[in-house]
Formats: sequence, structure tokens, C-alpha cells
Amino acid sequence: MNAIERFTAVLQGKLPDRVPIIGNLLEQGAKELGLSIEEYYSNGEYVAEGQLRMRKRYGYDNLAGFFYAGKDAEMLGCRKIIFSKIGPPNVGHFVIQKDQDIEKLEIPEDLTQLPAFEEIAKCISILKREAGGIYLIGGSVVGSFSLPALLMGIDRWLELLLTGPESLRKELLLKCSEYCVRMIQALREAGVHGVSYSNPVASADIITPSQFEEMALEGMAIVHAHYRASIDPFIHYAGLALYHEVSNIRRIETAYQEVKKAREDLSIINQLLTSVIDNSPLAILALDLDKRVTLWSRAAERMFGWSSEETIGSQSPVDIEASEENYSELYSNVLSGQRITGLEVERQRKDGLKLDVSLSVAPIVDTEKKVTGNDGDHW
Amino acid sequence: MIESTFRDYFEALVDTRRDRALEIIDSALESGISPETIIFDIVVPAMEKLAETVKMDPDTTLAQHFIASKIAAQVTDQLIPQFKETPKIEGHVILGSASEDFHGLGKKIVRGCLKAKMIEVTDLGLNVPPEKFVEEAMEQKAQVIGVSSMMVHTACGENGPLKVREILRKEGLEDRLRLAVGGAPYRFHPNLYKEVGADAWAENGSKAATVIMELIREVQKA
Repeated sequence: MNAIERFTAVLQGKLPDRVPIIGNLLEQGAKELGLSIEEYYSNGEYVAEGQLRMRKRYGYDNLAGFFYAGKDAEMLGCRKIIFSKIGPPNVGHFVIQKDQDIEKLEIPEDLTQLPAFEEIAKCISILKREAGGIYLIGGSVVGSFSLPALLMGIDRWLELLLTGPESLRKELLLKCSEYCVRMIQALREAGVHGVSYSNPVASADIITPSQFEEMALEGMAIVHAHYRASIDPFIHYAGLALYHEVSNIRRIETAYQEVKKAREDLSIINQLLTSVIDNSPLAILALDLDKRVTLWSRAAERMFGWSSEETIGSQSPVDIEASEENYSELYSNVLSGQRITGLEVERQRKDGLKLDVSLSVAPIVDTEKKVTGNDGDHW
Repeated sequence: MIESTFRDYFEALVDTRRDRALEIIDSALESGISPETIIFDIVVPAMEKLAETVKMDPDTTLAQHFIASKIAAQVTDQLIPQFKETPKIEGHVILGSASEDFHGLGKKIVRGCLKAKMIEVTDLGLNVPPEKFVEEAMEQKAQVIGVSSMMVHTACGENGPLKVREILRKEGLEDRLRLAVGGAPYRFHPNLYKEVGADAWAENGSKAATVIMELIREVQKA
């Protein structure tokens, strides 16, 4: 039985020839190769070689396609990692310095394209080539509840968590969950068999069971909702900390089912809305706060001649030329919450033809009733 | 009255409800309890009780300590000006995270505990070079330097407490300054503090205040 068969047997509830052994050796590989820790982590080839040699020396069943926890911060813009001569690298620059940085934080769609991912991908690809069919190659991501500690410092994260505005905390956790989802995807594409989801801040040493239920479980369930079906094993890990009962799979299952149902409900609502908008004979368009188009219906395409591809993300071509002098006033009235119904105006088509249209406009509000744009119907 | 205020306040700490805890302090003040009693009979004992609870109750969390200490620091700052007599400041401590260490949670907890015990604190923040600790201690006429390390290598490394000790020795300051350490690595190896050249360590914020108070007295007696 090789290592992969051994892990598979355990996961299927069958008896392996022996207990599979996970070796958790990381920067020890630098010593193995006679390099400094900084040199070692500068090249995915070194990390792969270190992993292969250490596995051979100690005989365990896995290979770690993982560098250090601060890598996740580097992926999100951390500019400085402090390399010690004798210990794990440490984050030396916090990406989030003030509240606005949370709003500005963007999670790139495709993490495989980031320079910080390059050496990880190289390392995993070598491990796969050298031993992928025999030994379990694991990746790792810092969990959504712990990642903020790397982005802003553990003390400031706890402060936000316990005493800060709820909306800001939720926004950060949502972004961190998104990151985890995309990082797991990137690691999968690079070739790992499994991912360790390291979430020590969500442990029983730091937060109470009710705080865990209220604040941490959702993010973990989001990650599960995306990957549980496609990634196995998915290991929850919290270092030396005591874990909350989440290791009890039933609780995560419940949270997962809730998130899954919410996603399905949302998808049904989205389909319904798309169908209503697409089939409406009225031209419907939506603008954001910068007056950029976020929705351009099929009827709008037919009425004005511009396709949705041409308009989404740009200033609305029909409104740029709006002739009425009070257009700006109209726009700001809508932003302050007013609705406009049946206003007779003139608009120009793409081919130059003038149209008399009846315009109705309403503000679009978010879940906190804040205006995020406006929606207009023309007929 | 004091007993019930203590009970409610402690409950708010356990639930990590900062606003509720502050409300309890405010209504205690309104009902005529003196600022001195609030600090010495409610805030400090509650923090000490929380530290004691850790041993018995595995459900005690770092978040509770963090909130308790944060409130302690806030309430102390707010109430000291209202004391009948200016309180006697017991001593001065320089705190900071070791060089290359960017973890500041434990240090913040200790700071709150020290303040509530009338010990003045200068917090140098994260990633503090060893020279800076000594320089600041001399300038502020402090009695104790406290170095916090979250990781083994920042506790044992050449630029951590070992280097602070070396500077104290070289400059002949060992009679005037004591070195205390704290953080995760010391919890796993009870004698580690000696190996890194420290005079003392403590496993939690409340104990740190007691240990540091003893070090301050030692220096003051010398």
C-alpha cells in the first residue's frame, strides 16, 4: 500500500496497512539543503527539494506544497516578510492600517496569476512530477477568521471583532472567505491533493463557543459550500490551540446547509429577475454612484442600439447627451431617495435617431438601505 | 451594592460585552461608589478572578482577557483624575514586542493590568530593537523592561531579551533595571525565561502585574 492508498483507505473508512503519518516539517528544509531560510523560500525548486529529502529521511506519507503563513498576506499585498535565521518567517507589513483599507481590499479573481503564487506553483508542480502518484501533496491556506490577524495584527483584529462596527467586521470576513475559496481553487489547479485550512483564531483558546457560532462559522461554511464536494481531504487545523466543536462535522454540516440554501435561494431569485428583465418590453438600465452602467436590458439594446457589452462599466451613452438642464438635479434627487415616474424626455439612439421616451427612475439600496445606484425604465 | 456590581461587571467581561461593562461602571459611579473603590474593588479583582478562572474553566478565552484589560485601562485613565488624592504611582515599566515580532495582543493585555495597578507604562509597540528598550528605560527612569515574544525564535533569538540583558550588563545597569518576559514560548518551557536572561516571567496579564510590582520594589529597595 502506498501513501495515497493509505490515506484513501482511511477516508473511506477502510483499514490501511498502517496509520498514515503526516510530517509537518517546513523551514527545516532549509537546513537540509544548507541554505538560509530566506534563500530557501526564494525558490519553489528549493522548497520542493527540501520536502522530498525530508520525507525520504523520516519516512512519512505527505509532502507539503506550502511555504509559510505570511504567504497569504503577501498574496493580498503585504510588502515585507521578516526572515529569521532560526524560525518561521513573519509578516512585517500590515496591509490593513485603517478602516478604509478594509473597503479598499480587493481579492483578485485568479490568484494563480499573482507573483506571490509563482514559487508555490513551481514547488507543487515539482512535487507532483516527482512523487504525486505515491505521496499526498498538501497545500495550506490561513482560514478566513485568522487571515485578518495577518493583514492587520492580532490585537487590532480582536479589537475590530469584539468592539468594532459589525458591518466592517462582516465585510472583512466575507473578503477573507472569498480569498480562501480562490486560494483553494488556485492550489487545486496547481496540483495539490488536499488543503489544510488553518484557523487558529477561531479556536476555543481565543473565542467563546457563541462567538464562534455567531462570527466564525459562516466563513468556514462558505469555504465548504464551494469545495467540500471537490476537495478531499479538507483538514481543519489550529496549531496547538483547542478547537471548537466544529470538528464535530454535524455543526459544520448545518452551517453548510444554511449557506447552500441561501446560495440556491439567491440563484433562483437571480434567475427570476434576469428572466423578468430580459422579457420586459421596457428598456431597463441601472447605474452605479459614478453613473456607470451596471445593467442594460435586452429591450434597452433594441430601443437604443447599444449592446450590453458596449455599455456595462461605462457612462450611459443615452444619458451623457441628456438634453434637459436639470439632469444632474434629477440624478441627485434620486440618490437622495426620490422616485421619478413618467417623466417625458428626449433621448438619442446609437444611429442618431431621436426618441421621445417616458422615464421612470428609482434608487437602488443595499441591505443597509444605503443608496448604491439608480435604476431607470424607458418606454 | 459593590458585590452585585462586581458580579454584573464580571459577567459582562465573561460575555466580552464592553459596552455593558462600561454601563455598569457608569451606574456604579452615579450611585455614589467612589472611583477608588471601582478600580481597586471591582476592576482589578475582576481581572484577577478571570485569570484564576483559566485554570478551572477551559472555556475561558483570550478574547475575555483582552476585553477585561482594555476596559481596565480605559476605566483607570478615566477615573484617576477623579480620585480624592492623586494616587501613588508604583513605578514605571517599558513594554514592547521583541525585535522581529509583530504580535501585540499579550502585551496590550499586560498594559491594561499594569495601569489598573497604578503602574505607569510606556508601550514601544511591535518589533522593538533591544537598544531601544534600554534607551527608553533610562530616559523614562523606569524600573522594569518587559519584552513580549509570541514565537520561539523571537524569544530566544540574538536580538530579543538576550541582547537586552547583554546591554544591561555591559552598561552596568543591572542594579537599576529588571527584565521581565512573557508570551507563548515561556508557557511551554517554565525555565526558558532564565535561558533568555530575564529576571521573571508570568503566564497571564494579571500575574504579570504582580510579578512586575515585585521587580519594581526590588529596584526601589536597592
